[in-house]
Amino acid sequence: MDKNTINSVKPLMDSKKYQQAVPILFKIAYGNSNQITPKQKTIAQQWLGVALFRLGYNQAAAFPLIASIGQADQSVSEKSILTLIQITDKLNDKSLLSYAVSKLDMNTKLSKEIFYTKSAEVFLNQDQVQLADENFLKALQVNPKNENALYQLGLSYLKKNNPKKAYSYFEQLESLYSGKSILDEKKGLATLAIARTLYQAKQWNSAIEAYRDIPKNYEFYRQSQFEMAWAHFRSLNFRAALGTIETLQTPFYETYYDPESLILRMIILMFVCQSEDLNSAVQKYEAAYYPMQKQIENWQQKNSTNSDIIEMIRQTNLNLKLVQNGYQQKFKTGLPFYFVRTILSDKKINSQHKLISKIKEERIKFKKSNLYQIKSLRIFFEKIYTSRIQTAQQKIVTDFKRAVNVQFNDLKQYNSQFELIKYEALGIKKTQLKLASQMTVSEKNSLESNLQKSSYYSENGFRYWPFDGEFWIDEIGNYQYVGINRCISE
Amino acid sequence: MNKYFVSLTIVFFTSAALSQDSDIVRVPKKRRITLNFGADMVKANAENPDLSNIHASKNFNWKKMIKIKENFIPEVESNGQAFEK
Repeated sequence: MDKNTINSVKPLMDSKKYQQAVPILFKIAYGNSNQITPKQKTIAQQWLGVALFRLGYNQAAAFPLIASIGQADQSVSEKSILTLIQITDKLNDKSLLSYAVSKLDMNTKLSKEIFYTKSAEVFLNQDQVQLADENFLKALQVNPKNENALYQLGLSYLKKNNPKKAYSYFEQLESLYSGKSILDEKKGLATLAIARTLYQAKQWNSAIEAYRDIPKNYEFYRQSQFEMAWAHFRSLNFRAALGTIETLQTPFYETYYDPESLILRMIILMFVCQSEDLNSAVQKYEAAYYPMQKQIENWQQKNSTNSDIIEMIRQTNLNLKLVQNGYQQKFKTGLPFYFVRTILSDKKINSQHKLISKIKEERIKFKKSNLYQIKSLRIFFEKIYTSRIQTAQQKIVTDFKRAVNVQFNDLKQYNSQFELIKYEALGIKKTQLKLASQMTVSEKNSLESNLQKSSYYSENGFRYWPFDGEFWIDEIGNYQYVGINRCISE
Repeated sequence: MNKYFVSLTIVFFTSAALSQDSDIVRVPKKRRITLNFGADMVKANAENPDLSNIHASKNFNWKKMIKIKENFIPEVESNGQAFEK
């Protein structure tokens, strides 16, 4: 038996000796031999895709699989599509998914649930929400525990401003994780979705209760605190809102670009007429965020090249690691470091960035393997990796520019809010000084003035922090704002 | 002046009043918190903020100053990826 035929590879595939099978399959699939029929070539492509997938070369596996789809008979195509869908899940690659789904046929033996769910994901990616919802509903009919369908339908009803219906989907989703730790990513996100739904339904207290279920060491704890501050604010619990916002302003979170929570803090301080704290917040905003508008404007006018942006992203990630390890950042590009860091958390950029990281990891793995020694395979793999990285980088650059524009417009809005706040803050101070000068001594002897005499007030103002020294994660969230309402009837 | 501010606050926080009429019933979870005060008796009342306690200048341009967060839909949307697998 010729050792370079499909039949000779079958025992290797059956015994999972993929490393040995790949060079032979590659030769059959992409070689120039006249003795190999088109059908054998297609089967070899499909097997090569499966073998590479089993070896962990997801990116490289996708290409022979795509080549085999449509060429082969239905059963081979079905297997290729299923493997391709598994690959798209691992790589989180929407363009591959879109291709795989476009080849799906409802008459095949493929799982209906996969068909409906993946079709819905593709429609969602193309902003065809109605079609996406219809497919998610069908997926739920097949499997009422389909997590993605429950989440996306909940989201869809939030968009339709029907939080009651959204809640029913998120509640079902959360119940799927009842036995799991709250640190489980999906369980935490389901709880967060419930809190956000209750917020949208204007049930502030229930929303606050749900936000409190998010633990401090959970990835989205910081975001949940900001949202909880809004819920406190809207339920008129000003002190609670300020206490929550103080957490966001601690040195523990100082590496975040967050003008919005500072604006919220200033607004609440205005509500309770705390002019001194308001002034310090105004100064903080003026130093940290107000000048950024000009910086971003200058950067936008510069028309940076794609490679400039890719380099900036690389620098940001390097500097972020430095900051996270307690070192000073040495970031010298046109945009502020913390601003770029926030941009990089954008859903689409983040997803492409993760894809590039996965391709690079795969490339390193390939270079260490025996397959790298085979020249034809080396050229094949390198071509795939290079083109995929370039495509992903191009998408990142486009999304980066879009995200900068979005953030820039938000910042302009915050800055105009800030200008009004700053103006009103001066007015509050002036009024308070005028009224204070007319007060008697006994009137001034309030709870607040007693607080001012205590030792912690002299150090921290109205921020009560029951810990000393550095900020640790288990201490976050323990800030209490102890200032009182200083508004005086005019 | 107070009346003016109270009406403004009601405009911004209509939600606070409406919230009671909503249909979503969230079953409260039992929290595992034990407070042991020993033999001491603790008497306490919950105090909620009262709109009548809030005073502010009628000249504030609240509408321009506050961009009220009505929902967190973009945040829900961006977290959806986790459920795609």
